[in-house]
Amino acid sequence: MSFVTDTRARLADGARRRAATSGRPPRLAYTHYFIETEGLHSRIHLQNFYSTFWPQVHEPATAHITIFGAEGRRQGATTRSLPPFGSLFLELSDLLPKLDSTATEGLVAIDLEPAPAVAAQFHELPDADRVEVKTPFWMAYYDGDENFMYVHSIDVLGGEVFGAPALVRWAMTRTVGHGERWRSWRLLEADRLADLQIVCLNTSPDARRSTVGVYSSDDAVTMYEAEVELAPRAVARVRVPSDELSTWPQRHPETRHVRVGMDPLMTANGKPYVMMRYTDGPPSLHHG
Amino acid sequence: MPPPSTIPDFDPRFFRPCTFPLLRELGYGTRVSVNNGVGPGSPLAMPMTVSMSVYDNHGGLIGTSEPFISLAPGEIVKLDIDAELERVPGVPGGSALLVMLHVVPDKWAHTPQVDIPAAEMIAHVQASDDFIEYHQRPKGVVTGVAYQTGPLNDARLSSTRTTVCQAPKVIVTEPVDTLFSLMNISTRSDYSDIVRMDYWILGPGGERIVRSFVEVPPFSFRLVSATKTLEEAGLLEEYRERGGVGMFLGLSVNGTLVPISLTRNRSTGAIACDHTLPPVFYLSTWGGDARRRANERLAREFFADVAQPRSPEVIRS
Repeated sequence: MSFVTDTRARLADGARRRAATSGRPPRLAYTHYFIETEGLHSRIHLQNFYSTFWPQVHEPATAHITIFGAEGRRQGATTRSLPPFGSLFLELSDLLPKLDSTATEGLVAIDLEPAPAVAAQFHELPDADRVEVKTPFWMAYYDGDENFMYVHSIDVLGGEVFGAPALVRWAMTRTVGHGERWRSWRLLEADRLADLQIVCLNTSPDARRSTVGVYSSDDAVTMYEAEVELAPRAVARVRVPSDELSTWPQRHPETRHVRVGMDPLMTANGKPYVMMRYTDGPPSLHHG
Repeated sequence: MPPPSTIPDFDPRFFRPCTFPLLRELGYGTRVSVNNGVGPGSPLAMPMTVSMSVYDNHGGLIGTSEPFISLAPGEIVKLDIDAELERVPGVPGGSALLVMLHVVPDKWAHTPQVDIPAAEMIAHVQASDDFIEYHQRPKGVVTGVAYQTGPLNDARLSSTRTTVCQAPKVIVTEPVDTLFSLMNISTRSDYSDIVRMDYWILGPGGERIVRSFVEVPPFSFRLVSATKTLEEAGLLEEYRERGGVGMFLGLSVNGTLVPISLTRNRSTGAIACDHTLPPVFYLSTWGGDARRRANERLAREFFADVAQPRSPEVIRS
């Protein structure tokens, strides 16, 4: 490492350490897909997680919630107060009209801002030059019969850092990396699929493209493939045509199990969601 | 305490386990997508074999199968666990069972103890997002969750053994119950600790509704029913009238439990299945003394000055 690079790295570490110990560590918002169509509804489940670390603080946290439509257009933002150990259960069907949004699918991002009294405890954070505070949350998807599906968030809103001083935010948002080629570790039974949809999210601030598909478990057979190009913060739901699905057992009798794949992931952990249904079953929605 | 570079005298069956409960008494079958996740491009890639151990509801080992499948680097297979149980003699029908798949490097498949390079173990555990899938026929219900069950409850690999479970996933409506599956597993075959979790069911405003506890024997799991816990406290209807949603807050100070939530529609059989998130998902560097102090604060605030409940409120003991 050169002297210049070394010095720059030490200055950056020092800035992050000072920010964190003074109550301003970088905070990253997690994201989720939402859907209010296809007979499905979405509900945010978020808890005031600061309480479990600093239960002696009796002040509320503030959730900053931002909604993007399927094309990536910002629909609006709102805030909610979460009391100590409180939880937020927010129906997208209630929130979207309040934002004058007619979006039926898209992206939701949440950053939970700590109470000042919690921020005053951040001197306790280990490895202050590296720490990141994140707001993972769950999305409950459900249909009219109260069939529930839960998904925890895995990808952050790229290009946005909250809470930290401007220099730290700038340094952490200059680039948002791409992901790698990815194949799901979940195998689906090819001959029982009645519906299969792959939901791709671009959580980055740049337009990105990828190839999404369905492959045999050994990757030797491409069952279905499509190109996807997404604007910043946009979402695309790729449905494998049902007439295509129904031919798989005849066309590929040796392929009993298939898996979803994407090349590349649009962001480091930007794995798609998978909506599927086996014959006569209720819908299922999970990470790929 | 950083983990050692080599773990001496390690039972290789615990090198890369995949552990899950069977939900047979709830009427679900189990299929598992299990992989050899370190692909052929890695210097740590190696062929693996898979065998299976089955434990009863008290954590007693019913038996271990011979290796029955091989996985090349990068290979994935899907196993119908209910069918594979036939490989282990003496498995009772219908009762609660814990299953552990042992994904073991070929080179150690018939070795009782080896000195394991920690880097190899970590690489294979980190690449091992096995997908546990529950299904219910003839309804076509299918759900599942991907997770890793790496080194747990093993003093050779971790000096802290506590669990904080915060899950805003309690849903209790007329047809819906939320169950929390808590597994007590280890990477030591001689592990024998019963782990206790004290827990609260909280309302959306953080209000404390009901407190209870559950004790989980080693190599077993327990299902905590939110509906039953509220019902036995006489608070189910009131909780439902207030929306029927809230948070499960649990603390174990004598061991690690693996929590999985199961939100189940008793009418349709649909079941949502997901894990909770450990503290580092919220505060990326959390651990060590800070974690110990926080757990002590949580114990003082939530679990110290309240009378012990009459009995563990679980759906089975």
